Amino acid sequence: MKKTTINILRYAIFVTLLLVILLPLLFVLISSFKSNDEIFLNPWGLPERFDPESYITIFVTNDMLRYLMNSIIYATITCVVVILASAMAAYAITRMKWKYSQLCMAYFLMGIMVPIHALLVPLYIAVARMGLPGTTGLVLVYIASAIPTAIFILAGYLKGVPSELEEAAVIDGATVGVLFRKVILPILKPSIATVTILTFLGVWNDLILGLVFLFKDRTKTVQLFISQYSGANYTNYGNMLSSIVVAVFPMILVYTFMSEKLVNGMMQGAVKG
Amino acid sequence: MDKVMRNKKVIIVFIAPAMILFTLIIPVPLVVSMGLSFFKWNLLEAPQFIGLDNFIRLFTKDAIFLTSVKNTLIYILLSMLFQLPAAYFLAILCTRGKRFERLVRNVMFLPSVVSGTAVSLIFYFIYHPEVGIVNAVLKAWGREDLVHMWLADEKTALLCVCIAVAWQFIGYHMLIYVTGIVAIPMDMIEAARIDGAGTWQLICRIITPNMKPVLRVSLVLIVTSSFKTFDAIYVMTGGGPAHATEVMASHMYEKAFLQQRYGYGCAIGLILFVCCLVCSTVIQRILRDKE
Repeated sequence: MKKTTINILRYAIFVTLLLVILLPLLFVLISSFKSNDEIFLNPWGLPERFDPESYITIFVTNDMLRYLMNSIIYATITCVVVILASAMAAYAITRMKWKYSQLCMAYFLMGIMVPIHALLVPLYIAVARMGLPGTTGLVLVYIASAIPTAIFILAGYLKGVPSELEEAAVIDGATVGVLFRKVILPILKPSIATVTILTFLGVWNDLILGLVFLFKDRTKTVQLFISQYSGANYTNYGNMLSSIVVAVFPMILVYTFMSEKLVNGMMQGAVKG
Repeated sequence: MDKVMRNKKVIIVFIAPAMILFTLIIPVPLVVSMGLSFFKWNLLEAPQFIGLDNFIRLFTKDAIFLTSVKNTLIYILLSMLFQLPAAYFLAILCTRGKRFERLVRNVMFLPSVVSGTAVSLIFYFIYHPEVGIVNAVLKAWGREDLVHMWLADEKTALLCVCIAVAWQFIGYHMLIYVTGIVAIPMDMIEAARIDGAGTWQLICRIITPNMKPVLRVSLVLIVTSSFKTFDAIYVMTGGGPAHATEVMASHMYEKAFLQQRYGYGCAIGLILFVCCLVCSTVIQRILRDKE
C-alpha cells in the first residue's frame, strides 16, 4: 500500500518535470507560427492557422542560412584542428618517453582554470593590431580554449589502453607517422567522439567571443544573430521566435538521435575536467 | 619500440602544434593582461602607466563594479539554491535505470545542449510583460495584481534570470549526481538494505558520503560558471534595469569593449580569474578525499 503511494508520487513528480522542461520549448514553437497580432491577442492556445511567414522572412530577408553556415564552418574547423593537435600531444605525453611529459600535461591542464574573460582584451588587441580577420582570430581562440580539455580526455583514455598493438606495428616496421594514423587514431575513436561533441557544442553555443571578434555582419554566428532580438526596441516577435526555433532545432535534432552519447560525453567532460 | 618513443625530434613534432597554439592564446595573453591592468589605454593614445590605480578605482570609486560583485554573489547563491538540492533529490529519484526514468533523465538534460543565448531569449519571451506566458497565466487566474514587468523591475530581474538559468542546468547537475550514485558499488547498498536500513538512512549514510567527488565537481562547476555568467545577463536584461543585474563579466565587457577602457577591463577580468581560482581551490580543499 505504502509502496504504491510512493510510486504514484514519483510518477507525478516525473510528469511535472517533463512538463516544466518541455512546455517553454513547446510554447515558443507554437507561438512562432502565429502572426504578430495573434501573439498579442491569443498568447496561449494554438494558432488559428499555422502561418510559416516568419520562417520565410528570416531565411529570405534576414539571410539566416548564412549565419547557420558560419557557425557550422567555425565549429567544424575548430573540431578538426583540436582533434589532430590534441591527439598528437596526448600521444606524445602518454606514450613517448621524455623528462617533461608530466610537466607538460600539468601546463595544459592549467588552461582549464583560466576564464576566457581574463584574456579577451589582449587577444582582441593582438588580432586588431596584426590585422588578422576577426574570423581567423575567433577560430584560433576557439581552438586554443578547447585544447586543454581535449588533451585531458584523450590522454586519459590512451593511458587505459595497452600498448601491444603499437609494439606489434613497430616490429612490422611502421614509422611513427603511420603508427599514429593507422593505430592510435582508430584506438582513440570513442574519446575523439567525446571531444568532438564538447568542442562543437562549445563553439556553436558561444556568444561572448563572437561579440568581441566579429564585426562584419556577414561573418556573424547564429548566436550573435539571435542575440540581436533582445532589447525592448524589437517588436516583431514572430521573427524572433522562428529564429530561436531555427537556432535551437539542429541541437535538439542531434540530441534526440544520440542523447546517450551526448550525455555521456558531456558528463566525461564535466567529471574529468 | 623504445628507440622510436625516445626520438627527440618526433616528440617535438607531436607536441608542437598544440603547445604553440595553446601557449600563444592562453598563457601569454594572461600575462599580458596582468601587465595591461597597470595601464590606462584606449588604443588611440599611447598606453599610460598608472600603477594600481585601476584596482584602487574599482574598489573605491566604481559603485557599479561593487554592485556587479554583489549581484554576482547573489547570482551564485541563488543558482546553488535553485539547482543543487533539486538536482540531488531528482538524481536519487531517478537511478533505477527503468525506461521511463531514462526518458526523464534525457529530457531533463536537453536544455544543457541548447545555447545560453537561445534559452535566455526563450525566457525573455516568457517573462515578456505583454505577450509573455507568465503574465497571461496570472491574468487568466484572476491575479491581475501580480502582473509584472518581470525583467524590468529591479526587485525581480535577477531572480528571474536565475530561474531561467536553473531551468537550463538542473538536469546537468542531476546527471552529474546520477553518475556518482551509479558508481557506488551495488553490494554496498544491498548490504545496507539487508542490515535493515530504510531509504532515508540509505541516502544519509551510504549515498551522501560516497558523493563527495561528484559534489566537488558540481560545486566547482556551478561556482566558476556563475562567476563567468554573461550570456543570460547580456540577452535578458543587458545588466539593467539601473544595473540591478550587472554582473562582473557584463561590467567587464561594458568597460573594455563599449567604453574602450582596455586596462580597466583587464583588471576586472583578472579579479574574475582570481575569484574562480580561489573558490575552486577552497571547494576542493573542503571536499577532498581522505586518503
